[in-house]
Amino acid sequence: MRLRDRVTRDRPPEAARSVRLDLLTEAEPPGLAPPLPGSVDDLAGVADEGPEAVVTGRRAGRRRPWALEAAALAVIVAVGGLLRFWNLDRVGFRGDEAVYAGQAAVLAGVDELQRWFILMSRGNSNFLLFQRIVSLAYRMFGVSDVLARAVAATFSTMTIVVVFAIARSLYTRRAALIAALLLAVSSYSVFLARLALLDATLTFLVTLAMLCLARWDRTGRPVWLYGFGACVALAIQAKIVGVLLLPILGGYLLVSRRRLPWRVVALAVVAFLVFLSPVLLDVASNSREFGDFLSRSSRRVSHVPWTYYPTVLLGREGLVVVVLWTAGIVLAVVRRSRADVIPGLWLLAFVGFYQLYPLKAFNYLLPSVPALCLLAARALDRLPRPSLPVVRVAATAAVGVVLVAGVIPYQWRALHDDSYAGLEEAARWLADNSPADAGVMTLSHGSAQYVFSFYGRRDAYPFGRFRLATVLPGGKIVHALPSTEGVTPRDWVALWPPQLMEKGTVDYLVYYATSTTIDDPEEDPLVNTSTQRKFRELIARYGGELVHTVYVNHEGRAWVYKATRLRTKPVVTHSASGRMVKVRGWGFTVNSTVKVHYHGRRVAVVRADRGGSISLRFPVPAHAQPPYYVVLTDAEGNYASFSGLSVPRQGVGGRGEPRPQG
Amino acid sequence: MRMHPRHRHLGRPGIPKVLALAGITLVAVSAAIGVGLVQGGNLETAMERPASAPAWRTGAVACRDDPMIAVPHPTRFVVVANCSTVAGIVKQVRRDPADGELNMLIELDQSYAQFLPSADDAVLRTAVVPRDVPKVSVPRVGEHATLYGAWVRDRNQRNQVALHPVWGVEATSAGAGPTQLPMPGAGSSTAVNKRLTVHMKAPRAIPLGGAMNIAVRVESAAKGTLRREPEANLFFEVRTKDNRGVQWKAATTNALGLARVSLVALEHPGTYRVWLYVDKPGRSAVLSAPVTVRRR
Repeated sequence: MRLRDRVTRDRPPEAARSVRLDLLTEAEPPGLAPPLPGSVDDLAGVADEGPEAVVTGRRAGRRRPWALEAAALAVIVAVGGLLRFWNLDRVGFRGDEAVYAGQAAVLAGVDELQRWFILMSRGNSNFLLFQRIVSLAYRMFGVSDVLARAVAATFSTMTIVVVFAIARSLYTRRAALIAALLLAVSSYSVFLARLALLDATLTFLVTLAMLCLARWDRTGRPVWLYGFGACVALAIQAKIVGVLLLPILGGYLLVSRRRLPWRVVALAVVAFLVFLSPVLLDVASNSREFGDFLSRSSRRVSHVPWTYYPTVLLGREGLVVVVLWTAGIVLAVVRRSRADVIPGLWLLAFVGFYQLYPLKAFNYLLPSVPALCLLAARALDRLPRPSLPVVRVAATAAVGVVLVAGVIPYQWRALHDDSYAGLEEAARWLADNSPADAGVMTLSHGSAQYVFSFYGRRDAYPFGRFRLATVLPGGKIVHALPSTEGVTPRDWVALWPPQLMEKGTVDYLVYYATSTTIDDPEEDPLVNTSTQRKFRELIARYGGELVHTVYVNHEGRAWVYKATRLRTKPVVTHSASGRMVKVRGWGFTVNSTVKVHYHGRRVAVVRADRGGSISLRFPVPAHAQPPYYVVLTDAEGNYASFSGLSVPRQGVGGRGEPRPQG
Repeated sequence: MRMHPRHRHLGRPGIPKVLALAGITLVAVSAAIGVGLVQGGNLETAMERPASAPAWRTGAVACRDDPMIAVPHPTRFVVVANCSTVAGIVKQVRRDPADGELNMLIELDQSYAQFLPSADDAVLRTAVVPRDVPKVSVPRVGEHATLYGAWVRDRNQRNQVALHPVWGVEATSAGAGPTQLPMPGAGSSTAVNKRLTVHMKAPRAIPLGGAMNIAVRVESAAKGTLRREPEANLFFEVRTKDNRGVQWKAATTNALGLARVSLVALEHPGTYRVWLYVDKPGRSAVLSAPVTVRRR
């Protein structure tokens, strides 16, 4: 046997014996089709390991039966699941979660929410696959925030199993368990799995597609390629970036130089198109809107340094895990092993794309994490193992302690993240304490306002700078206006908010703090950005009266203000008819007393109505002179004034007020 | 079954493979550069390479470690140099009621023109922030002056360079001499000088997030009586204990000489001080009052 000859030449005699036995036990189960001509040998992954790994694989097979392996995997999945599901409703939705959950609720038949949520992505992000799955859960159990998050957490937990299966196909049993463990305790993955965002679903489907590719790589059976096609189609439906799986396949074919029969290609394409058909139908029926959203949203740009993603990963995972990931990448580059091709291409496609793509966000790198865990597991698996059992145990324990110590603080952060705590409570308070037709405005990067629509069933509007379209209550879509010099539009800071306030469309303004670092005010003030300052000014300009504060852990996190006037400054008009002056005014504090002074003397008192308007008549004062001012001041000190009154001329001997005195 | 070395390691053989990978890399890099070029024009210019700045002239005025601490809305600026010195002819001096700043246009001397983006327009915008106005000798229009301040780029003014804030001015040519704006009364809630009387009433304590309503009355003493002063420019600044500005607001008095402004106390709980800068043509005053923001 040529393979045996080759392995025997390359390795020490003991190892060669082990390899031979290993090949007999670790090869594909009987019945699988042989690899395609020119394809990777199905034993490459095992044969590629060093002698020790092979020995372990063989001996492990004896010492650890499949039940032990399954038990270990079950424990890992249980740990991963616990981290992902524990206390899932600790904090309410953030903006994007509310949008997806709202869309799912509409799909589940909650017609009430159609006023605020449309069944189309405002960006270029998704075709509602996640929302459709959540809607099934909603139909069964009713609408709730926890349920939407549970769906994402379920996908994330299942990804652990799929990663195990990939590593089991490409590497050793031990590497597979390590990869599953690394993903299970990845703080970044746990953090995102606990949010009802699309990334966990996308990551699961991407990982499943890569499992199909890995299995096809090992077995050559076309069914895995068809499965890959189906997974790509589903991944695109979860988030359009799933299309990156196609260049990964292209890269793999280029590197492996596999030949594909036309029949296999055709059937794979058919599988892809069949599973993609909902998207095709959706695009065909809404091609104009889809193209519009796609072209506008593709112009979104994040003004962040190129180190943004490394910073995010370091912040979420910690140095130990990032160093481990980096070691895995370095080792793969140095070894250039066949078994690392698939994780390598996977990583290159997603990390490379997002590093180049001008729009960046904290959640975008999630599909890359399984690949990083695979490479890191491979690196850990290949650590030299001391021959002395005591030293080996001590070394393993040391590695374990370092990993646990490096992971725990970041897991704690992931499990206790309360960045948007207070929004849900504010929305629920408004639902209980405001009229059903009240409008709410809040700080937003494009989506936060929908938290109030989801929880509070109130018309909500954003305040902030973003390039995303806004769906107004009733379904009208407002696109961001083109801005000069590529700066992020200010429509929802300078243009729309004052108009909505002056029309009385917005009654409540909600300010919230995303930060939890209350202890360091200098580093992290409550009002920090220009947009936050503008919103605070808006609250002050329209007489925002603090009506409710949401406290989280005894710290204020959200403040609900009621606007008490419809204009930043009152406006008055007047007309004189005979001896009477008629005055109309707008923009005073609602329901407040307005005092009218003429040249320092009070001449009238009137009450503003609930819209802040006044209307009154008073006689022209006897001492009226054009330079003297009429000043109208409300209870809050807002004032308007005008001059030009004069005593009307009377006929000689006519009755009337005495002539003004100089 | 046969295992070829090619299947175990990727790198060694295959010139076509190397070429293919190189091609992919080339395409990827080109795409990246293309995207960078397309998006590069769209990036906010605040991310551009900082320009050079005039050097600091030591001796007359001390350099500041954090010059922006006194600047209202400091995020509108990108600081190029904390401390710079320029000299030139004063073309305009104007008090801006919207932010209480004293704005000056300076036609720079030839030696400083290189620091301006356009040699055709060698006029530099400079500003003295409200809290520095009482300490600065204001030059007259037409005088030659040396100004000390921070060299910044103003993001709200298409990234124009400016000296903002200025905290030192030396008039270097003979003339009528610089004027010093009178600013009596700093540190109390009532400021009185022989021509202007200002009363400020601010709440001593407010809950976090609550409204900080401040009432002001401005009067002037004329012929032995107090007369209300309409249209007086007011500029409010809320400062932390370490003198860092956190909130600003401009207002004017009404025809009754009164003004009432509302700030929103969205600040961390603690002790603050509200400073008020009052300005009428030729007259001014500074006063302040403590405010505590409570946790609840």
